[in-house]
Amino acid sequence: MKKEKTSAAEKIALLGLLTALCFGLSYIEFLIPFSALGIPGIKLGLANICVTAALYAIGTKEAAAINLIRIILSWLIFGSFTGLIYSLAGSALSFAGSVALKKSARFSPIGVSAAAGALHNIGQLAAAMILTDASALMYYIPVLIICGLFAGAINGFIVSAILSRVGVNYKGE
Amino acid sequence: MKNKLLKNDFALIAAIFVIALAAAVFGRAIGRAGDTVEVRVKGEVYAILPLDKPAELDIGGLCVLKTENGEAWIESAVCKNQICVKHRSVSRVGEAIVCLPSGVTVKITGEGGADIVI
Repeated sequence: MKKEKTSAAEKIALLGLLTALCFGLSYIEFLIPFSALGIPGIKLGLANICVTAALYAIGTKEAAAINLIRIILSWLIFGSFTGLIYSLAGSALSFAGSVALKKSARFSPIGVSAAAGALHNIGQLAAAMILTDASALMYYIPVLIICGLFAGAINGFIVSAILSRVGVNYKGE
Repeated sequence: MKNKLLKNDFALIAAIFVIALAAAVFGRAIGRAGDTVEVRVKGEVYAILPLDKPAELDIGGLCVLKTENGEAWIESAVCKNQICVKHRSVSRVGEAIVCLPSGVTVKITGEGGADIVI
């Protein structure tokens, strides 16, 4: 995708489209009642498919922008303020991790996304522990790390499938 | 090249998995059995019960707490999502069940407990 020179308008349109897609995925996720499993905070993180794909196919800045706008939109439509803070903490940590791991060029999107999933949950829980002063939440970290890891790996698998179809080479830097 | 990346992916996932398991084991090892359970409603202490004898407590009509054999759990709740009812029973100092919709927290207290903040 980087090969062709794209105009600013094209880029804006593409980013808008991806943000909408990302938001749509957040909404689908909102409809799946994962909290019925009795483990609050467990999610698939579908929107991260879009963010990670953008990270590989377009660039770091653009993916960060999509991510941030998606979080703010979800908060405005169906979130609470504390939810926003948790989301921001989780996403910041997970996005930073994704960028670092991608840059190392040692992992495919599957590894990057799996680690990002785990980091997201760690960031979220850390924010919850600071805000609610419930150190007992610590017992919950291992469960969340493992769930995030597997959800992230599945998303990463989807991302690599998308990238190979779009024709983005992720093998090296 | 691609296979090598996948191998690294696998190693990364396995490493994080092992770290999480180690954290779980560590959390269990340092957790000590509690003596009492502290019930709060919207931050205010509602009741403190000993854990050693069976008891049942109706928390302001919001949920019902049960204790037995050093464990405490929420038997029923009026809220919609029932997360606190599905939560496993708590017994170690610092462990808690939080029922967010009604603002009820149930926390195990006791001596020498680990009150760890990572």
